Amino acid sequence: MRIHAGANYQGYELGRQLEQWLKDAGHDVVWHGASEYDFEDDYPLFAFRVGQAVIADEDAGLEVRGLLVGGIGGGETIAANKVDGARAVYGASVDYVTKSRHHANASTVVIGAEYTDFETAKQLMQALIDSKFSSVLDDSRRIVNTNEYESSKTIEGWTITG
Amino acid sequence: MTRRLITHLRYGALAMPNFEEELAFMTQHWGLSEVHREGDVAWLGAEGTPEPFVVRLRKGEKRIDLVSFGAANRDDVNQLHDRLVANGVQIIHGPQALTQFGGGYGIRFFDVDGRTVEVSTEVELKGSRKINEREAIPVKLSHFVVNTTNLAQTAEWYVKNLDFALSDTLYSDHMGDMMHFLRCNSAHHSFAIATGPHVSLHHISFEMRGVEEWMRGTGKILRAGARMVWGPGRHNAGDNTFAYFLDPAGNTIEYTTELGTIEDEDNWHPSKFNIGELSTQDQWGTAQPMSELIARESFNDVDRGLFVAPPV
Repeated sequence: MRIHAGANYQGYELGRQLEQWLKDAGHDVVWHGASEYDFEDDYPLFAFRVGQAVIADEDAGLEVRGLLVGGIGGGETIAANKVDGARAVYGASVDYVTKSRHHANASTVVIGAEYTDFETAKQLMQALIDSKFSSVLDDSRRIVNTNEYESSKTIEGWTITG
Repeated sequence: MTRRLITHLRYGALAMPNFEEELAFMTQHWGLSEVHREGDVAWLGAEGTPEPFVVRLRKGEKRIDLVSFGAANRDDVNQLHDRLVANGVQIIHGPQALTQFGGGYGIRFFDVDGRTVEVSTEVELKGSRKINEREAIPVKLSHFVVNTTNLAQTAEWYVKNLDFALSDTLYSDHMGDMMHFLRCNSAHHSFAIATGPHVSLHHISFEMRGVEEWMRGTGKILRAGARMVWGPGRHNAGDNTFAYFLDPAGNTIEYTTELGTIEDEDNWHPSKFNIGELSTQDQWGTAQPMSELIARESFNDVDRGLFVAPPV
């Protein structure tokens, strides 16, 4: 499976460990972070790169996932979801990632290195890889609603106001 | 089983002034493939069907160039021609070898409103493949819908001359019948006719592999900047999901999936659905109601090609 990965300096060591683990498992990993540890580098660039790459591959019909590792992970989650079409979730638990994939077609998991050890991070990533979108119409409709809001600020043609 | 002289919807041919823009949208975003090109005419195929092409685009004044249906063999084409002549239909050309890309053997004629219709057989089929999971490109053409100013007359013409059968009807308390869904095989509808202020294209619909591919395609088209004029939703008539977009030529085009089939025609009874009831148009009840604004989007521009045979 194609996996786009990235990390800032706080998640760099764990991110690189996960990258190697994924490669060893036979995945096609594309690294979007710094080529070597770069103290205090910023996460938005890596988050946008991963988000854009995942969406580009999805639109091309590929099976693809994203992985972002930061210190806390909150900023990366927010930044990644600024990419049109991106669906990134924080790796709160294996069950959370699995259900987010199932109902929201989450395609990227964000891991906070301060809260997550290597073994747990592997389980979270494996859950993202293994679980599938439900493909039921109700879930699909909600995702299309979100896509529409991203592009036109409407849902089914209606302007959204308070 | 009902014996018909046409088998299926083959392709729709359209002309528009902004040909290059339309071609780029259809091939770069909508998911069709350019299979042949001659100057300002392009033939576009869908990966999931062996039909040589499903859409033909031509640079010119905006119009429907023609809608094409398949026939099983030459005998059926010849028999259909004889019937049309006997019924007084204006023939453009009788049974002959077709010279455009894809070849075949067929006839062309005008329907009661002046649209050009082609019926063909023995076209050169192309290679096709099963669309992959998550691949957001059309499998094939689903249905072709036109506007007319005389719904009953136009629908009766297609039933009488081309063996279509009525599957279901939409109606309004105030305006009477609004749309007839017509079938020529087990698909709930391959062709439909709507009431409009003038004769024009209502929309062309493309079948996606399944719900996930329909969802992914819809997101992809939104990201391409096209406006979704209605949807997402699921129709009652036909039971298919819908997402309608405006293409660069100002035509409405649709991604759909899971269109219903009618396997037992003898026991099928057409229903009439009131468009004033939201659930009629959208089973989910979530898409915005069919409003005058949405209806106007589907009126399209006046078709300039009536009783004028296209040059290709």
